[in-house]
Amino acid sequence: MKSTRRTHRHAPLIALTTCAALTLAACGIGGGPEDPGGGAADPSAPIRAAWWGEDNQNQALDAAITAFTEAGGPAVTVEPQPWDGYWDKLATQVAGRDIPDVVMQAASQLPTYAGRDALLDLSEVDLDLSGLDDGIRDFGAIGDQTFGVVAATNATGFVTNADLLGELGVAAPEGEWTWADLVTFANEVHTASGGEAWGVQDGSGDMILFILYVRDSGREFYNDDGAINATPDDLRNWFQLWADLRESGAVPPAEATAEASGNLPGSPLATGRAAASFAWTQDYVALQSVTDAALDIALPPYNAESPSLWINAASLWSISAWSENPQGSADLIDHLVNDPDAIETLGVSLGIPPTAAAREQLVDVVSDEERPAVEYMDLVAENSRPLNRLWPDGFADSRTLFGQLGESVAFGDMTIDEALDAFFADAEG
Amino acid sequence: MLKAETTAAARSAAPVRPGGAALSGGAVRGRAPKPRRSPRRRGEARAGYLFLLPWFIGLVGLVLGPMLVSAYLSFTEYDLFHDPVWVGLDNYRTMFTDDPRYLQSLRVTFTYVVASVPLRLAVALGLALLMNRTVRGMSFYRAVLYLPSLLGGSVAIAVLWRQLFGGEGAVNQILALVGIDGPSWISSPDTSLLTIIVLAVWQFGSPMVIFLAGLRQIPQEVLEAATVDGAGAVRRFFSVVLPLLTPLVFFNVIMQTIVAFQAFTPSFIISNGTGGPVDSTLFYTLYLYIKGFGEFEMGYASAMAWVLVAIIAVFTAVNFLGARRWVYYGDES
Repeated sequence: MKSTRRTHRHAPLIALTTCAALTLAACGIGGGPEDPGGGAADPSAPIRAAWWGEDNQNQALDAAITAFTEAGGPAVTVEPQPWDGYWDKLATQVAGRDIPDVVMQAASQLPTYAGRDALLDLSEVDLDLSGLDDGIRDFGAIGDQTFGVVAATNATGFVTNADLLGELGVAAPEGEWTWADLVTFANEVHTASGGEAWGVQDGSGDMILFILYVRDSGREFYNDDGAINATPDDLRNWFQLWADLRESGAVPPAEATAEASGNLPGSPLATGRAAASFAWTQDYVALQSVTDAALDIALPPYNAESPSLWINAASLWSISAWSENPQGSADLIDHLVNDPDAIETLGVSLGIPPTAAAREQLVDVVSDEERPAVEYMDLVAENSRPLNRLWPDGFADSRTLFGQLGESVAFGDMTIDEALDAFFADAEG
Repeated sequence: MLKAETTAAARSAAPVRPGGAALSGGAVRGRAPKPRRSPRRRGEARAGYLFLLPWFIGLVGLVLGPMLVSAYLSFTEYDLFHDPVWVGLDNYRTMFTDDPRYLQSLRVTFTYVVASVPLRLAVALGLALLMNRTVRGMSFYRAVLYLPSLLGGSVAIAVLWRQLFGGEGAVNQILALVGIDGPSWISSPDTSLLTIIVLAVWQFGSPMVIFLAGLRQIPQEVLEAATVDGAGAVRRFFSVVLPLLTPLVFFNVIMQTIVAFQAFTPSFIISNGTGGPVDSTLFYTLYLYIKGFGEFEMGYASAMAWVLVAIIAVFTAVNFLGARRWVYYGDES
């Protein structure tokens, strides 16, 4: 009995000590990256690579990476993930100071990760970026440091259902056109179809489109210092434009828009209920693969004097600040971006390649569904204007808020004035 | 008297420690002497603790440890990237004074709990009454009725729900047959929460099984006596069956309330992780998740988690206090 009682008496103590130890250990997770990998590491040490993507992308990257290892590179463990969940996992890994050596980044997230010291400044490794298009190289830069290499590019386009427009006898906008022309076009479709079809999907909650709208007038959305340069009047006019379109029936009602959100195959354009929509180039390819109708992609409202469009970084490759093999990681990135075999393996699965050499190599290889997207990017290259600055920290949150406000206005949950007050209050606070 | 006690003790002890009746009998009789443990028993005790160890490690490492850390984090600003910065009660203050979305998530969650728990229990009890009969193939029906609960929490069902209650989903197609032009239930802020409540009610399986077990325990004699006294089916239910079931009703209310407060999957899937449209399905846990992993405000999310613990504790305590008035355990005279 004595022994049992002793155990009893000590059990809580042991429990407490263990808890305390665990707590301390857990709180010690801070620390910060005082000693990032360093250059002295062994360039053949195994590395980990993570990206988000669909099946076809995973297979292509897998094949390209296997070739890299077989050609004498370090062994690579791959950690592919779908987009949903990718960022949750990465954030948790950062908290544990354990992100993969090579990580795919998004332009909207890069400032968050770089600003919090999770990524390596690429000037510390040997990596040739000279092949990348000029405006594109800057996408990985913050200040005078570079944290990412663009893996693929994309751009927003105006996608139309050519079959439906042909049936209705309505012409898609061409050449120089304005946002006012969009309203006319959408109403024309609605009328010509006897109210059956919507002219265009509701884009009121898409901050990227609002940025195009502001840039169309020759101004920038962000000041050089990262503060918002768009005015409350811009936003009021923007929300009003879409509210009027919803009112006239040229744009789907809020319920239909909410239902299709995050679901490309169910979107009004894919189901043939809307004649047009704004979409990223990779979404254009995805849309074309789920509908039998012929889809065209063309420039959004455009004027030659101040083109509103920019070539965007669809994804970037970065290196972990804690990588124990930074040079091996850089070699892998170099392989994925510059190696002709890797370029052929990847094709346009990630988006349009960032180097002219790669695009030239691919032009004959791409499928019929992909070709318009590749050709469209060439059109964009000639008719775009680079952003004055990269997305500031907080861009991702602003964009989420913008979507929520757009939805609230559409459902009549908020007036336009309330929504713009909320947006600008958040931007200032 | 003494004899009755010992036999009772032996009976209760027998299945647990075969062969140890004399010792445990002594313990039950409450005699003070503390019997000296043999080395063998000491070894047994040690083995017992050893068997307990995996559970204990799990408890400390996976439950208590993280809870303590989250309690600490709830008083900090912690973005996952930098060291936590102590901010005292700021997170808790912000929640109630400066975060309309938080208040919205409370509203949504309370509505869900208050609507879904009673409805689910009522359906569970009703079906348990139906199941408590001798009909051919009854076990088949029971299995079929339990099925939704096996599937209900899963992602697949939430996806199915999107299809059923979408603008052109099955529900509206059926309504169209009788000439009703239904809205898009999932995507309209007025009805989206309702569809999630319906999903919750549909998962009545586990309380149903518990009620069914309780119904089986009700002695036939009591019911027969009531019939002889002239009580009809309705009267028998309210005067005999329901009072005898109250302990199980109580148990189910507690368990289901706790589960309902923690609901996450349906709203996450049905709203694509946004809590939309217009925050109408922004459940507490979903907002916590958005804050912690979407906006990197882990300190705030930790504080939210502790407020949820407090809310559940208060609800459970109120339930227990109220239970004295209506739960009948049968051993009171």
